[in-house]
Amino acid sequence: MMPGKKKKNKAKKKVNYLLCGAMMLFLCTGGMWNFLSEDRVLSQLENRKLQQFPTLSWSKLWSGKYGQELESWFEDQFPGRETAFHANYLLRKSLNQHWLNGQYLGKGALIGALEAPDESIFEANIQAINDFALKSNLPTALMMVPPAEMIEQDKLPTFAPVPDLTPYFEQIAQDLTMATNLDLRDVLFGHQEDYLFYRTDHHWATQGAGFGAQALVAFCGGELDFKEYTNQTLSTNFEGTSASYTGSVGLYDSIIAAKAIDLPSYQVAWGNGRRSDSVYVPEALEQKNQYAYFLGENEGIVQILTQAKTNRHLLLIKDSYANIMVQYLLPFYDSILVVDPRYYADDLNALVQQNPITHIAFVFSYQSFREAIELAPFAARLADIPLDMDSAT
Amino acid sequence: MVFTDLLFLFGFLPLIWALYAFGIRKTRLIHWYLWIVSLLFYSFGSLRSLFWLLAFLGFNFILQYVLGLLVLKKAHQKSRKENQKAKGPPPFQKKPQPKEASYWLLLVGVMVDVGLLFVFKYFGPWFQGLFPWSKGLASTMPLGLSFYTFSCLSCLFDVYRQKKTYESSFVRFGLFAAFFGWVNMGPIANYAQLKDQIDHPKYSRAQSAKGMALFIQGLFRKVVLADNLALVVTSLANDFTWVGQVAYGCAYFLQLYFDFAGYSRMARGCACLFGFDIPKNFDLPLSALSIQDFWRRWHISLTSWFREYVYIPLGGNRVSNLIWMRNLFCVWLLTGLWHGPSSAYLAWGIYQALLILLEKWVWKGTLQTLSKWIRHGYVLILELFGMALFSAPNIGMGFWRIGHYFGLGLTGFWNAGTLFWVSNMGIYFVVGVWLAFGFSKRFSQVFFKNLKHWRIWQILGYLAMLIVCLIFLISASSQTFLYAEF
Repeated sequence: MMPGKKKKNKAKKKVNYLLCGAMMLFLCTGGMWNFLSEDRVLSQLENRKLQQFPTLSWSKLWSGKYGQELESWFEDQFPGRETAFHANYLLRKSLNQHWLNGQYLGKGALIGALEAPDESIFEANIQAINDFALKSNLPTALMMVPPAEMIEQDKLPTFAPVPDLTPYFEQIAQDLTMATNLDLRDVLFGHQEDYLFYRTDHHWATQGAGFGAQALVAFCGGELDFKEYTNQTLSTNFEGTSASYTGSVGLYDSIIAAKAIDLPSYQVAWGNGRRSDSVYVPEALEQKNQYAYFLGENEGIVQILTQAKTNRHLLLIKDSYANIMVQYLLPFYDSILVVDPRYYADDLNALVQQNPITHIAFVFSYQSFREAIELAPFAARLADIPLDMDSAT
Repeated sequence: MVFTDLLFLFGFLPLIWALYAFGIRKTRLIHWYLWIVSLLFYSFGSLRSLFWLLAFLGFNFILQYVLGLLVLKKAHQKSRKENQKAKGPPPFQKKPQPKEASYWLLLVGVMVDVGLLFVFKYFGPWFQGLFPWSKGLASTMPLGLSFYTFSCLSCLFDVYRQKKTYESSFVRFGLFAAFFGWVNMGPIANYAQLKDQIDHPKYSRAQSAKGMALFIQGLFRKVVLADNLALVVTSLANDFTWVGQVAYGCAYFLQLYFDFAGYSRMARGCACLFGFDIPKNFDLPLSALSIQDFWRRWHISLTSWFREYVYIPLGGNRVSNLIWMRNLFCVWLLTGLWHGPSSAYLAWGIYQALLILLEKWVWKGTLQTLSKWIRHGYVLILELFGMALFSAPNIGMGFWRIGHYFGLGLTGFWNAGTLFWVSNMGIYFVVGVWLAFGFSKRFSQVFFKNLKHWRIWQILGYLAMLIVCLIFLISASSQTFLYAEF
């Protein structure tokens, strides 16, 4: 063989070795790193428990469950997993992709794409509120908070399809015969430029919730003036659930508390036994879910007693959207009973009979009210007894 | 376990390759080693599936062994008779010969293998009305049964026809039918093609490098292209505008292609890494110039299986037109049926047979006079209609989808959703078309030829592709391979 050809062949062999060997070494190192590194229990970014090393059993091996669990463990515990999420976000943004894991990668915000709703749940929920209002014989209101996808259309990516939700709001106005419909569409559309919804979370932000509180207080005969509140920014690094879904980079939200200047003293009691003289939970600012700063994590019931002396007592049946709204309501009610129907399993009749309720409000996000929360079983738990102040203790 | 599992990529593959390349390939344990790792790979699905696999392979091994002995004996007798014939006088009278024992044994084998496949795959969907207990039968089907049944049948046929001798080692037979590279989702192994390679794997560095390159190319096709196009398919399934339906059809076509072509390429890569050289399963089918050409390039292992073991034994095309038509429809009905028990697959099979028939009898002459680009368009449009049938849950829905292309049942020309998904995922369409038509191959030939240190650039390119795939894989659990359903 000629020396030149021999040299060329040698170089080719080296490159072949490099192609296969380097890739295998890369993969092997990743694998070893995963096997040797300590298992994590929780993922802050994903906000969930991670799969631990599975226990071996014959039944799991036979059914194939062991293999699935082992693969989940390997995936969950993979080193650099969170870095890969962020890289994935940046890669997709650079490929002009504006949709990731059910979220629109919008202009300066992540906006959850609405899923196909369950029509039957929606209609049943309206009927349940009618029934509840009829049984309780008290002024009742429903506030279905419009989604960011509807209000902040200018932040959606180009061509993003916006479903027409108007018919659903009109259906509420038409079918909600026994209760008042608190429609926020106009007021929120009028303040589109404001910080109404979080950029990285599915909830509305302090200012958006303020408009909701204003409508609710007006329904109960009060008047809420934003000038009587001071805003205090407590955190500027909140990354909510939309950030978890996408692994977004460089997008953060602020946690802003709106505190009434003339705030009456009050006490808060949570269903889990916790008591406090504040609706705020400062520990939450140190955690991933900073939205829990407002009234904590979801609880079946939270009771707030104030010294406002307004003779108004509110039963607030809600999802997590109402948590941030409660801070605005404190000066306007002597008591607020905050009930989350998803978690409240105690006697509803006893609750409403033992408390001097004057107003009832149902506050839900559009998504919950149309897709997730079924109010009919909850409303059915209320006995057919009209409530009045005299019967209450 | 599938090739896109992180445990496979970061644990199983590098570990078993390293042990093989740096030690075991030089010993006598090669076959045992590859057989054990293949079983380990397969057992991740479930031990129940492994039990079925071993029972199935055991049965087929014994069958092909006995068949092989009978065939050898017959051949031996034949040659003795011929010797005698040459020496002595001719026999008095020619009597009708009874079927040989080997023929009946082959028949038993085929019936048992096909019968098992029928019970798991077709009995439930077809007879659940009569036998409600059979409703869940399809969901208990062992992984890859369609593929390894056809591989085993290939062995039985080849041994019977004396294309290759029988396999005397259960380990080597198991390796042929259930090597981890092709046990789950093919390609279907051809006994005559693979026998010698299984007996003597030829490992080399060049072969390994080729294997790694093929594996990464396949991974890219599956993870980056097929999985993202799947998102378009899901999003546009209920978009009944004309552009929406056309985009849906194109996305499904490309998704199916990259899903299976990607997996097949990974399978080839795996085989190469361990010294086996298996033929291409897809050869740029979207660049075909006729429907017949398309089917010479799409899922080659399946079409050649049917051609070799069904079409040619029936007489192929060297028969009268009527018999040829029968042969053609028989093969395409079986091909449709192989994909699943739905009526849409049968309709798809008949549709392909009709196209081939028309191409041969009606417009073959005209087609050859047309320009290349028109012929590409002709194949793509007709196969797009075929995909509408293929992707539908039943025959009615299939024709309904074809109707959409002609404006039936539409809500408009396009809407915001259509434009969003087409513009948003446009990059995957562009890259998909670039790869599917072979432009990438031509580009790399020109580009790398003029580049200094092109091999280093090539390695960096593969590393970048691998990293992108891993980012996509880690970020989202990869979707189920479409061909796992078949």
